[in-house]
Amino acid sequence: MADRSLPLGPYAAVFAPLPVEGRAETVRRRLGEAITLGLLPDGSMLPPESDLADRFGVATVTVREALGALRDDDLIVTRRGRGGGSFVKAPRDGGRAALLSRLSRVGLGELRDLADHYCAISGHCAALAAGRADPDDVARLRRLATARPAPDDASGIPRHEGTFHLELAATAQSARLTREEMVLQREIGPVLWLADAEAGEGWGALRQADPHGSIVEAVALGEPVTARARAEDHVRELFDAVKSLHRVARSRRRR
Amino acid sequence: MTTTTTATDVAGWVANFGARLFDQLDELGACLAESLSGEAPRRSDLDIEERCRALLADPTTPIAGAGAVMAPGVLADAAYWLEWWTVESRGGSVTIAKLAAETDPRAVGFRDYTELPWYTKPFETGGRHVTGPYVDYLCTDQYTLTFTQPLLVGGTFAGVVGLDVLVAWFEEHLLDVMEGLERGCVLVNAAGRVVTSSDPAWVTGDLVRDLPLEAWRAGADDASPHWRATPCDGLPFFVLTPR
Repeated sequence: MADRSLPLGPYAAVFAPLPVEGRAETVRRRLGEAITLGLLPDGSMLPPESDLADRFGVATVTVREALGALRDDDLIVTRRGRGGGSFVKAPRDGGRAALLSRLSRVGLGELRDLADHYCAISGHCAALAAGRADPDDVARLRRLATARPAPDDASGIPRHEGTFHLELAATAQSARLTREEMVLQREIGPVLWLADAEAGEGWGALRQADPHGSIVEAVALGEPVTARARAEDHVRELFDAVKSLHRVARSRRRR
Repeated sequence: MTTTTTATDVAGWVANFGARLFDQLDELGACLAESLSGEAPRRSDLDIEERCRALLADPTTPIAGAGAVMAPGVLADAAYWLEWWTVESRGGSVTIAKLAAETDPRAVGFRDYTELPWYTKPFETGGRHVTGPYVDYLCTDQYTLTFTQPLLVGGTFAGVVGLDVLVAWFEEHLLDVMEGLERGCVLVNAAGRVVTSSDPAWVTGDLVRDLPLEAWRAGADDASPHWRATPCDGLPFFVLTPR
C-alpha cells in the first residue's frame, strides 16, 4: 500500500503552536480549513494524535476532541487497527462552501488592500523577469502557461495557478519577492483561483483570453513595461472576480 | 602593490571548487547505488542520512543542502521522493533538517521535479550539471547553486544526487580571489547569468545579453569584441574580463 503519511513542507504553518483559548475549536478550524482549501490532499493520513499535540502545543485529549469534531464535520475518517489512523476526506464541492464562508468575513477594503499588495509583487516580478529571464526560463514559463490541468483534477487549477506565479517570481531572480509570493498565495490563493474559475464560466468573454501566455510573451521579448502592465491587469481581473464572489458569499450569509 | 592574480587563477579557483563538490557527489552516489541494488528498494533503504548530516555540519564546507532525488517509480513505496537535508543557521546556531517536500502529485503544494533543470539536465545528458544561480523555492528558499549528477543503479538512471551552495557564500569567497585582479571581472553561467561580479556594472543575477556563448564553448575565446572568456574546467561557467 502506498504510504499516505503527510509531508508538511510549505504548509508547516498549518501545524504551528496555538494560543491558549478555545484550543480544540482552533485545532478543528485550522485543520478543517486546510482540508477544505485542499492544502491537505484527499486520502492523506494525518500525523498521530500525540504528534499533532506536540506540534500544536496542546494536550492529546484536546486533539482528540478536535478530531471528533472534524469527524462530525465529515472532513476526516478514522480507521482502527494496523495501518489505521485519521485520513483526510475532501469535501465534495472542492471546498467552495468553506471558501465562501471565509470570504464573507473579509471586508471589501481589506480585499482591495490585498489586491494592491499582490499587484505590486506580481507586477514587479514580471518586470524584473522580463529583464532577467534566460531562454530556459522562458521555455519553462511557456510550458506552464500552456499546460491545462485535467478537468477531473480538483486540486489541479490551484496547483497550476500557484506554480505559474511562483515560477514568474523565481524568474525575477529575487528570493525575497518569491517568498512574498508564497505568503500571499497561502493567504489568498485558494479564493483567487476559485473566483477565477467561476468568473471564467460566467462572463469569460470580457476577460483576457490567455493572461499567463500574454505575460510570458512580454517576458520573452524582454519588455519590462508591458510585462508589468499585463501582470497587474491579470491581478486586477482576479480581484474583480473575487469581488463578485464576495457579493455571492455575503448574500448567502444573509439568507 | 602589484597583483599577480589572472583570469586563469579565478577560473582555476571556480573549477577546483566544483571538482571538490563533484567528488562528494561521487561518494554519495556510490553509497546509494549500493543500498539500492536489491529488489524493489524502499525509502528505508536510502541509507545516506549520516553522510548528508556530516556534509552539512562540516563548517569548512559551504553546503546548504544535500541528498538524492529519486526517479519516479524507483522506490516501491513512493512514486516521487526527495531524500534531502538542509541546514539553516540562525543567530550562530545550526539546524539540520530533513526536507519535507510535498510528494503527493494531487496536493496543491506538489511540484513535479522531473521538469526542473537540476533533474532534467543530468537525466537528458547523463552528465553533471550546475543549476543556477536561481531562487530555489522548493528547498533552501534562497538564491542558490545546485550541483547534480545522475544516480546510476546497475547502470540505470535512478534519479540524481546533489548539493546546494548558497550564492551568498560562493560570492563572498570568490570576490576575495577576484579582487586580486586589477580590473573587474564577471563569472557567468552557461546562459550568461552573472554568478559573481567584481565589475560594478554587473551584479549577481543579471543576465548579460548577446554573449557568443556557443563560440566560447567551441573554444573561440576571442569571439567577443568586449569580453575575453576563460572557461572553468568541468563547469559550465566562464570568467569574463574586459578586452
